[in-house]
Amino acid sequence: MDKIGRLVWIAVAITACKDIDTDWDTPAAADYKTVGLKGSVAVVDSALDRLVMLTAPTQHELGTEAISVGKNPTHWVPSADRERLFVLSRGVQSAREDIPPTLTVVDGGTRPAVCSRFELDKPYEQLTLDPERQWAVIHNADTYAENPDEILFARLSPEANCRQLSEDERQREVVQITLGGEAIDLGDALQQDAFSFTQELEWPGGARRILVVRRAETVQLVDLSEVVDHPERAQHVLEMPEVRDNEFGLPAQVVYHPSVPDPDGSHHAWLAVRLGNDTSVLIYKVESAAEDSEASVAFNRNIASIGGTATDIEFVMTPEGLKLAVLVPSRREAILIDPHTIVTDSIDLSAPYERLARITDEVTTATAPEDTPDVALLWASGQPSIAFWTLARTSTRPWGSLDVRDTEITVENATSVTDDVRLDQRSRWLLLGSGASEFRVLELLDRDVRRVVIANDPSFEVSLAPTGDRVWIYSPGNAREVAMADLSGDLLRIPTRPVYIERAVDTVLDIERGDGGYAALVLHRGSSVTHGTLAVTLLDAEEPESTDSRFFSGLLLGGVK
Amino acid sequence: MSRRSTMTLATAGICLLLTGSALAQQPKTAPPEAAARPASPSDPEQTPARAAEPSPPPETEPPGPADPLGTYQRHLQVMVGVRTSYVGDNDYRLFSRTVTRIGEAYPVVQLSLGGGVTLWSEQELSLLVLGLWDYGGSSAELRGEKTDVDIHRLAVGAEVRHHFFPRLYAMGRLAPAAVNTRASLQDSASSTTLYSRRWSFGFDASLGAGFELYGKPAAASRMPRFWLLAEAGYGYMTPCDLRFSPDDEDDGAPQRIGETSLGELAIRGPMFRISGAITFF
Repeated sequence: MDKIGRLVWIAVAITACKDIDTDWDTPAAADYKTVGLKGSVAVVDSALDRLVMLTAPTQHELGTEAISVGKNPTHWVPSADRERLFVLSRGVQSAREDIPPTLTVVDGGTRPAVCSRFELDKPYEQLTLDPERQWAVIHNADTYAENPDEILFARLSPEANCRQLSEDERQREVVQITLGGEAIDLGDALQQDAFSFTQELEWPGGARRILVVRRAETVQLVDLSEVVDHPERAQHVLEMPEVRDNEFGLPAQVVYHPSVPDPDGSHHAWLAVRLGNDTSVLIYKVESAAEDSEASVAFNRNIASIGGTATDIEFVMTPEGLKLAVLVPSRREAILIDPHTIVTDSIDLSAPYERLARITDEVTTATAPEDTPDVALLWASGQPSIAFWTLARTSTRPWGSLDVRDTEITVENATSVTDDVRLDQRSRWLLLGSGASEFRVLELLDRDVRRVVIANDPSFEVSLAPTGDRVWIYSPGNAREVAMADLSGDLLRIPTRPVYIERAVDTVLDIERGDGGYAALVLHRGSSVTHGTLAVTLLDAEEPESTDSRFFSGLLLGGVK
Repeated sequence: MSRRSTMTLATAGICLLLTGSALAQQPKTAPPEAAARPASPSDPEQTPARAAEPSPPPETEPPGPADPLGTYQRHLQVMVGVRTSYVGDNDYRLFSRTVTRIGEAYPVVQLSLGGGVTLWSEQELSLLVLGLWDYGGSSAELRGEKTDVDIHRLAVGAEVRHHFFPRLYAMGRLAPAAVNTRASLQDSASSTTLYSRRWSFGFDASLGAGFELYGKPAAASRMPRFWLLAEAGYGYMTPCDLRFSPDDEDDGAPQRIGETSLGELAIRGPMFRISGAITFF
């Protein structure tokens, strides 16, 4: 009987069962994010620490590829050209597990893959990319456990941009520095837009690119040419002045001009800081430091009071040389400040313009002379017009002509299309309003304001094609239609091409196809509020037809183990 | 077809088999004259007058010395049981989260119905041909989306038996099978149910034993016998793609929908089957 008993127990042991946990039991977050890249769409499936990359190999095919991006992805940023996606993951730091934080660089082309992965020594929450794709700056370490003043520089040399790095290379390519100055409660000051990269500036010792960091009471300048080999020499601090008793200036905006010749023939870079809590702006001339100084660079500061709160500043070149243009909408004025003398000129704008962008290169032809005065675009939220401001003296106005164009809608948002790769090489801006069933396309070269009228739907959103010559219009929610507007023509009223979609539209993303064409991926989230689902209607972006579309579903289920 | 209706069909099938077996048995037992015949058909003394005499009940007849296994060995068999296979294919986790503690294989439990008939016998050896239908399935959730799979396994095979005793035999069976996998996925994104229905080839190779639980001792008895059968072996199935799409008649499904591919499924691995069988002659 003992033998029989043993056999029974073995049989029971072999056949005894248990329930297991698998990735299939992990629902996708209902509010997952999507990022449109050049040749693919990245769906951030945070619940499974991965990206689901959607591609369109051909007109009627949809590909999915799951890419692991490290434990607990927290932040993701596409490069300006949409060719790469940078994903920051926190990892896991607990008594049971120690998974390091990572920065993963993903190729966003038609064949997505991990380009490189940097292992980090501690978790960070924010990431700022160099528009010239040489650096990624990783910042905002966990404020409870780490020093929030620490930032990481990951060097993205072109050859390292899409290949696996060795451990030595990883160590060499990631540099940590601690920002100078007092460790203060930064609040919202150290957010992503507080970091910006400059072009090459005229700098003592040679041209340099600078990382500008706005902090609560200082502006930190980090010399990118020194950051790897001499990080201690890389930092320069601009202290903000005391604007009231025990209250220091809060830098709200930093602008620069890379190189301006002085009367003696020397060239200097200029910086300007707009304060968010004062009516003055600070102007710095970048010079060599005195020989007896420990510092290598001197920042000679001038303070200009402008008599009102400025909303935007920009260096502009006029026939009389470099000026700092300052917008003061409360006075419906622009102020031009001579950086050398701090002499100011006020210009009546007749409208409270709040924003300013230098568009000289976009509105002048290649044959224009080099000393052509700058042209700036002015706009404001709630204002039914935009203006082209040419910074040249005219017979009727002291400072340039103001070419006002009626937009007929109150402009809430103006978006430059110039960040995208444009096939037709025409510069244009999208002017989006509020409460209107239409938007405007501003052609900079001929200064045309072209209309795009939507079929009675003021809640529409737009999605720009990476080529910049096509825009998709849709209403997230229940509408089962998208419309494509072809911007490449010359019509002042741009027609839209509606396409019926069989399910409610969440968003539309226009990508390159594997066969060289373009595809529009209309994303559908489904009706479930407890878990995320994803389906896609695939359209030919250039000739969208409902009858030639394909519907693909269950896209968050693929690749799960 | 739903699992409940399939079970109803299975029950009806059992009834049909039992009825068929009873009908098949009737012509051999119905004429009283035939039943009154002595065991040996070559008896030269047999006359019409003797045939009219009342004869003893057939179940009390002693077995002929040349056929000691009689209806123990040569019979029509109907069986019902449970087939359990242990699947190592990880794609089965789309439909189940239950695994064995040892080996972490997915048990696939199926109702097993079958029938067979003895084609040949020689002393202790005999050969049976039989047909089997195994049916079972499982349900689970994929990241919140309900999934379901039904597996039908239709097999026709041969079984070789060796009787150690009239009431106990060992057997070996080889049964090629056609396997129909019917999977479904309730897709919230498209608000429709997607299906993947595929046919695959398979076979079962098994060894086992049969033991008579109840029956008349006489080898020539034509009363039904009740058996307990147990077998173990390996069940094989070629992989089938899990490509989901809506039914053609589903008007609510998106038109021009592409297939949702979730890998492939192969229900193969060690198996065992425990069955109860009734044999008739």
